[in-house]
Amino acid sequence: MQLWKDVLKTLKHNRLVVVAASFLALMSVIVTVGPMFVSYSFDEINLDATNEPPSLKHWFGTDPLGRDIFVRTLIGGRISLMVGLIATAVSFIIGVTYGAISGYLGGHVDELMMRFVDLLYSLPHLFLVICFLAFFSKDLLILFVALGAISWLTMARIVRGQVLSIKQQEYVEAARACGTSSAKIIVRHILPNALVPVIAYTTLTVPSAILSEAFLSFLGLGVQPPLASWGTLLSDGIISISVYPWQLICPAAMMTATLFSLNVLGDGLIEALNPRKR
Amino acid sequence: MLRLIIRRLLLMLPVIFTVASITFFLLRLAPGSPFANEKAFEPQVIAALNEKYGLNRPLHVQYFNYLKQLLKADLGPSTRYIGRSVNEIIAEHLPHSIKLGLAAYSIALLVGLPLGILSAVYKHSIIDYLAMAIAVIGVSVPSFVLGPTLVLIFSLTLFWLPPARWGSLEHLVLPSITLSAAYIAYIARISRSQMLEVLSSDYIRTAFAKGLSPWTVITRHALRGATIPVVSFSGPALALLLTGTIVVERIFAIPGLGHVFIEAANARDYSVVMGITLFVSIATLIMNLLVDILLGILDPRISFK
Amino acid sequence: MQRLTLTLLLFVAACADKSEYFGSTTPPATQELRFWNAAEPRSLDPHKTGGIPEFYIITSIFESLTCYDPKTLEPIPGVAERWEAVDGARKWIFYLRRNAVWTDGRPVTAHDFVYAWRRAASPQTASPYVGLMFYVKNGEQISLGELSPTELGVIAQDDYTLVVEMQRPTAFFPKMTSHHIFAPLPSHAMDNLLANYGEKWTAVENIITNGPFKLVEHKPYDQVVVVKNPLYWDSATVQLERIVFIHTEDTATGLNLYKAGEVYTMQSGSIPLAFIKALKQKKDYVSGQLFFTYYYSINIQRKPLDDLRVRKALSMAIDRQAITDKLIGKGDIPAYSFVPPGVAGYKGYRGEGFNPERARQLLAEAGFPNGKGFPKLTIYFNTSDAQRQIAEAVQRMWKEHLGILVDLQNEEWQTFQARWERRDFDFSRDGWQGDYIDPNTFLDLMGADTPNNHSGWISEDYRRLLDAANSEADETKRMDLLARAEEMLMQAQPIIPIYFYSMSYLKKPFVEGWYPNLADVHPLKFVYIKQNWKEGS
Repeated sequence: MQLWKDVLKTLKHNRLVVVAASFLALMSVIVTVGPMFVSYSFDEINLDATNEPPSLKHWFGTDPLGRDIFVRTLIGGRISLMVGLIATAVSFIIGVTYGAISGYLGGHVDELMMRFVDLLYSLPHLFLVICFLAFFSKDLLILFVALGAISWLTMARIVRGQVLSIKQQEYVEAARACGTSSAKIIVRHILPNALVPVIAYTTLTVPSAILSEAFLSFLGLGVQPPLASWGTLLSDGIISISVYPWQLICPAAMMTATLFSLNVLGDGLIEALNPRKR
Repeated sequence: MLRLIIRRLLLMLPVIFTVASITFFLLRLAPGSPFANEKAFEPQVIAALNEKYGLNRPLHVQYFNYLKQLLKADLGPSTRYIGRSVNEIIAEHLPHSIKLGLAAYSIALLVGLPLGILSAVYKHSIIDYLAMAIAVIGVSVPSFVLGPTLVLIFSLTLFWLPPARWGSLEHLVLPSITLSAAYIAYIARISRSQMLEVLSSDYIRTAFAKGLSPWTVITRHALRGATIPVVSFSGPALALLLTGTIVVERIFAIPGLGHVFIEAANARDYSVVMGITLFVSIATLIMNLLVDILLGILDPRISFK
Repeated sequence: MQRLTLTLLLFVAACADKSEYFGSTTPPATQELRFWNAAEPRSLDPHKTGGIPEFYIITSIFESLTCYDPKTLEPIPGVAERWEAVDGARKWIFYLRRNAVWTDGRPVTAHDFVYAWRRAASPQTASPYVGLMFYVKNGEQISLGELSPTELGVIAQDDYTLVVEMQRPTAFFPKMTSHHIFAPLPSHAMDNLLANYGEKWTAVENIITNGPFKLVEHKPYDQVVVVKNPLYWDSATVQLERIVFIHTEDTATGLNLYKAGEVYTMQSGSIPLAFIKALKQKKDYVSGQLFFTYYYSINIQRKPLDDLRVRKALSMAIDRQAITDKLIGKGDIPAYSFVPPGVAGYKGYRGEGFNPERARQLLAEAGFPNGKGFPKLTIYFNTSDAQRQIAEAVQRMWKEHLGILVDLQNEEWQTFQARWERRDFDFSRDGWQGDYIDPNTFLDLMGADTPNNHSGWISEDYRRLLDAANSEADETKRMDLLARAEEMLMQAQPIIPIYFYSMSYLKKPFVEGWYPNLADVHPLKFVYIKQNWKEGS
């Protein structure tokens, strides 16, 4: 796959992207194994040590319940990254399948399928998600699905566009002439070539899902206690910003750095894919 | 063109119907009642209120009544605010949201466009990196963090601006900056990439070759090309602004539609939640249509679809 | 680098705040009170709402028979000059003043009360506070539609004498009549107002009131403004020229407005927990006690919670002192009984305190040694910082002292309440604030299977004790009977009282005539701005 190699090569030359990717890798490792090496658990209350400023004992200080903010930030990061990844995976699976089918079949089916996407596009998603979370359950699973369901539409459009252009190309025509089945053509020939821009978009879906979760958490609709996400930590921290600023600053710094890296990576990918901008 | 507009308007009907139905059933199937209270009401009071608002009738009867009402453009009475209809509530609170949204979007355009264009013109310079860093931070910091931080600095430490509420020009400053941050970022990124595209296109190269000064080329030829995607972003953006106002209006105690919506959702004020959701989707549809018309005028090559 | 600068800036901002007061202390140039009033009022109709924000506005524009004394909350003359109990408190007679007038200049008469009370009790009105009307004869049956509103036990003997027949002897009735559900309505104009404007009769341009202030502006989700009513009979006492009620539900925003000097008061319960420790040092932070109990309701119909030993063990394993002192730290009192202290003449019962060993022992007796075999139960609470933190603390304590692990589930308020209605919980966060300053307002809650009796505990003996107390004319004996009822309740432990709320509010030093009291109710008639407050202190 020449395209993939080109992209990787371009990316390697972009120092900012390399830094961002390394940071993300490091962050993933830290949030996965980090909590094991901290001597506090994320829900351990210590009423004798509430609202303590950062120290050697508590790197990020403690919250109003005396819980260690460092370990909560790690656990929160784990949840937030999970929210981002799972929501993205949901949107990826639905979006790619839908877009590929629509684009490959073309004609009336395509028209119909795209009208349906248009219809869903016009729904006020966040309003509906708020209704749903506020009125039913604040289940983590519902959150994942709801956020994923919002972002598959764009994915489907991108994939469809790619598929439409690729399927005109000679090698696909050739495969079809040989009697290869439609499913095989899609999976073998079309998707691998269509995927690159999709992956760029996917990288940008992760931070937007994380942000949406934070937004819902601020409204009290996100992850529920004692579990924490970056969103809940931030919305808790923002209340006490003028008295115990570390409760906001520490998780906010982690989250911003992560979102920054994800955005840089996504931008880098898009730029690498567009030969004119290189 | 007129036929196309009519067709687009007709296509809105199924969307409106879908939104109305989804919100209706979502709300009615959810547990809880708009008349639940910390100190529980007497059962006869709840029964009387259910009777008054027709909530004791079979679900399908309620549904058809609701649709019938909608045909008359009547969104029904609020169950929380006695004596106020949803139509009145939208009319009362929408202007505040529009004012905030327009202020925020103007700031976003005024800052985002130059930022994007400059970073494209001075590609890979320090200006470019700085501008893009600002843009990425803009999308990485949630508004509910940015808002209170600005309040802490400008209202509670420096005492330059009021920390919340609404009415004067000073009240507008912090919330519109908070709301615009993410859009500055989007617009800067879009206009940068579009500008890069335009700058590398043949007609600009020709212009340069003719010996025109870079500034003339950019202002005469390139800008127009670079603004097109920004315009097409405006439709969804203005609608998204309405969503953004949910958090910003709450933080700054602004009597806008987003603020009313979230309080209504928490208080299970059925008709207000349904009405605002429906209104926002219609507004979004119309906004997108207007943007498409505008695009058709700006760039005749774009087929009106 | 940028982030570091910001961090430093924030630290400077946080540390520099060593002043005596929280934020601005510059008084306004005029007698204007700016009052943070939480949520947007649902209505300004005295019969149609029951919330705190509405209470403040409605009681400042409508005056009932009696008013609250700003310090003790005892009834003081309002439209009624004096009142007396007849026939062992089976009947009350209120003598109205002749100089009380409506804003349209017409006199306030006994007929206005008869009209208003009938409307309040009527099922068409669907008044959320109709429960208070049940003390008046036939009130409950009228609300059920079984009797006509004209059957209500309230009679205008003449224009200025109001006779109230009670459903049963009610010695504490005047303690309730300051509430706005007992306010008069302009009966001479109401038919016209309702016919022309319907529910909009309370709009600024239509409403006719009789209180110390009158309504001049209402901007939804923004503010309500009232100004001094020159026609009010006691306008000489009223010093405030204007009150601006500011409506925003976000407490952090409210606090910011207070700090910036845009509002002058923050009510109790609205100060975010995280701030309390920092605010305690400030002179404008006032704390006192409240007539309000925070407790957990136990669903006694569920196993193994139907076992008294289990309920007692759970109660004894909670270190309430740690919750009040270390966790909340705003001076709340650990609760071992239901009725908060502070009622004159009432010595309540005190239940068992924190005793982890005894708790373990009881749990073992009930068949769960060290919590083994105890099913996984859930504490439900409505989404809020404070609720969550307390629930987490209780969860920890039960795990540590009893070895049982409970789940926590927070829910949006409406969903949470639906759970109460269905009695679908194991433990639920609960709270009750007295409607009037008398133990009966608490004890009556558990006296029958009412919507507010969440635990589902019902006892005939308990009901009999309460009835005996309420028909007792002698106040000392009555209080004794009520104390015995409370003892019976606490022995059965259908609820786990956790603490009695303290109130803690912020009040700018120039706001005077505002006192800490058990209900945290502040009649605005007596409030004023003291421009030269610094010289006085």
